[in-house]
Amino acid sequence: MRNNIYKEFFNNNLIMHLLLDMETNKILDCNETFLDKFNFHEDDLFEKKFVDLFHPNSKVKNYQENMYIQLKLKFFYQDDVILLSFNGDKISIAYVAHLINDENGKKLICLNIQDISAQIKNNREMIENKILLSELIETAPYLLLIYKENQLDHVNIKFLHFFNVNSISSFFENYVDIDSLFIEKDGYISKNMYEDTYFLEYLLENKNKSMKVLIEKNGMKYTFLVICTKIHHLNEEKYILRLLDITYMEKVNEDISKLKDLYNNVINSIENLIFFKDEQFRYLGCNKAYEYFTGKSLSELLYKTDEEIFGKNENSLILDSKLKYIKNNSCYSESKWVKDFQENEKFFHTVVSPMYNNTQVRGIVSNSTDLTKQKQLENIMVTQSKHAAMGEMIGMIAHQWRQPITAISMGANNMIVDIDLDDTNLIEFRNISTEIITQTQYLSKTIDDFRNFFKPNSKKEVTQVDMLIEESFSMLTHILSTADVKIYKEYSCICDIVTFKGKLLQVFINIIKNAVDALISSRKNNRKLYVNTIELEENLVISIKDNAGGIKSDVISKIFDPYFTTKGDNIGTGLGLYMSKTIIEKHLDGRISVDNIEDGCCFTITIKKPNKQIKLNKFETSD
Amino acid sequence: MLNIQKLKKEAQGISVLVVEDSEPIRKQICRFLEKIFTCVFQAQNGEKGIEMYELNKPDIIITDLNMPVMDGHEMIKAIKIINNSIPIIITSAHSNSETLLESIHLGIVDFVPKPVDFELIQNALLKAISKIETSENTSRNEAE
Repeated sequence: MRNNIYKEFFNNNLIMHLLLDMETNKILDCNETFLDKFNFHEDDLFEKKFVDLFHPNSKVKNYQENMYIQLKLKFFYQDDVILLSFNGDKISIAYVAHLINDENGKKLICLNIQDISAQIKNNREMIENKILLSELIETAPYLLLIYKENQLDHVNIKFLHFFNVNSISSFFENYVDIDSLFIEKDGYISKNMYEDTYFLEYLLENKNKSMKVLIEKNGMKYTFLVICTKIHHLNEEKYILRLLDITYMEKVNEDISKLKDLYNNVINSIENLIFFKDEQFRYLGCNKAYEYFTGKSLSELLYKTDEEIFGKNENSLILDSKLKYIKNNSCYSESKWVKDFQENEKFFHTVVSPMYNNTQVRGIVSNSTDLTKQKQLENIMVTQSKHAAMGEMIGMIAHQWRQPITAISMGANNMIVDIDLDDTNLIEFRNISTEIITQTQYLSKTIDDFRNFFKPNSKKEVTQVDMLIEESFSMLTHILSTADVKIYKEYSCICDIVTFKGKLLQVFINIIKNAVDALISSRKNNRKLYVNTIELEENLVISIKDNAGGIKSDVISKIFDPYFTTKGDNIGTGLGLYMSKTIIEKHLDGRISVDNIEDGCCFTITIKKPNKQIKLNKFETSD
Repeated sequence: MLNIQKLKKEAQGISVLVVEDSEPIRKQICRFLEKIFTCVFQAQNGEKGIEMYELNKPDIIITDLNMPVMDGHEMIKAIKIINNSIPIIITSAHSNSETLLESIHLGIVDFVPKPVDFELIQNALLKAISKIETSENTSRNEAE
């Protein structure tokens, strides 16, 4: 009975039991718990020694010897070892061995076995966690300080290195506490800010603010970002203080903010309107002048297109549709009148350049210069020059008319004289009248010539260069013959051109008249004028030369400037050549230049030869 | 009416040279002068004028100023060297003060602006004829 109870106790006990023969070390008995744990069957253990169950890596060598010595000394032995289960699982066990005698006096070893696998695993994890923690602390990029009961308890090596000490106590030999090192400066935390509060508490309370401190070491100032946390550990309150060195970042930030200030100052000091857009023509930035012009702030413009901001509006410095050109990596420019947000009309010259990122176009930069004043001045000059040209024309008409008028009046007078002398002859009267009619026809022709010139010839017409030059000469016949200027003509521009006829005529007359004036004032005789027209592949070149001695070198560069004249205040307006240049360059898209040659000067006008097919656009007008 | 009759009478035996570059004007002047003067010579510029003067020694010269090759002033200077007392009348469209002043310095009889007023030219011609007589008288007086 009693045996049975023990047997039951033995088998159902949570502790595993093994019974060994001391002499042979063979397993004599085991309980169910052991068999279950190791998945053995009772037969598996038959004739097996305890050591046979050991994992091959276990310390088998001295096991038996040690145990026997110990048992003999103390009747008691304990150890841990790894066993292999029937399935080959490793199971760590701790066992206690007792020596007992059976009823026959045979020495038996009784093993009480406990599975310690979980315990070992936990231990290992704990050790590894400890290593990890230490690793984290030591490799952290900040100085780490742990306070226990308001006392500095632990620091990392980084901290020791920074202060060049080897322990907390040697730190305190040199310093009172870390917070006594904080230098007072705007935007940085220092002692006067927390006064009576414990500095760690102050740091905790102001967690959300930017917490920076300044610490001086060896004459260098370091900026640290401060992070303070409070933890409960082993029933104690601990403060963890981290100081991250952001000196370099601060420097970079400072540089960036300086650069930003510089950028803003520069771009906003420019009077020109400047803006930049990305590839989809959305605003990336602009200067104050542009904000003022559009009446919109940069924040209203950013990342939007003109259409999104202003709607479909033609009143734009540069239309996005035109910016498509930029994609071909070329600049685009345009001058036009636009209204600012207060509806003031302004004239802007806008140049748009592609914005590169390395070699790829990433957007556009636009720069607009306000030319309103210049444009207004130009308009005044155009009017003035028109008036001057008109005055000159009237002078020329007067010149052309003097002779015929004199001839007419004399003819009439002669008839009166005949009547007075009672010497009338009807045939003679008829001759005189015919003469008078001829002269009036000449007067009429002159008027037609000049009316052609004066009419607001705003339409382009088909004409020929050579014909226009001949027309100019015809309008100047009297002046030319009186001044006795010999004209040498060499014409070869037979192709049709489409142009503002009157304007080109104005240029020719102006240059020829200037040449004649120069010839009259510079030489008494042998006055010569050469007109030469050449048709090149793409251009028509007209040169007008004289032998009037040329233009003085200090003056030649200024002769196309407005209001510049060598003729004296009451004769020249100084607008003739300026207007000629304007006409040639702006209206006719050509070039005009002047050079001194052997004994005179030569004006060269180059205008583009039209394509073979001339299409006359009736709606094309000049201003 | 009276004037022209008087002029015609006074102009008997007097020759005149017309220097004018414009052919229609020259034609009309000559036509008028031929009714009055015994002999009318013509030239189309200053250079020809001098030639005609040397060839025909006219009593009076009527000249334009602006002419090709040689202008009126140049010609007057040249002829005055040969004969300082010859009466000269200028007809010109250029009646600005500068031109007038130079003409006066050259010692002309009269300046008749273009288009020519026939009353004015008749008076000028009378003045010129009287100058011829005066100069003839002077030379006669000198001879005495």
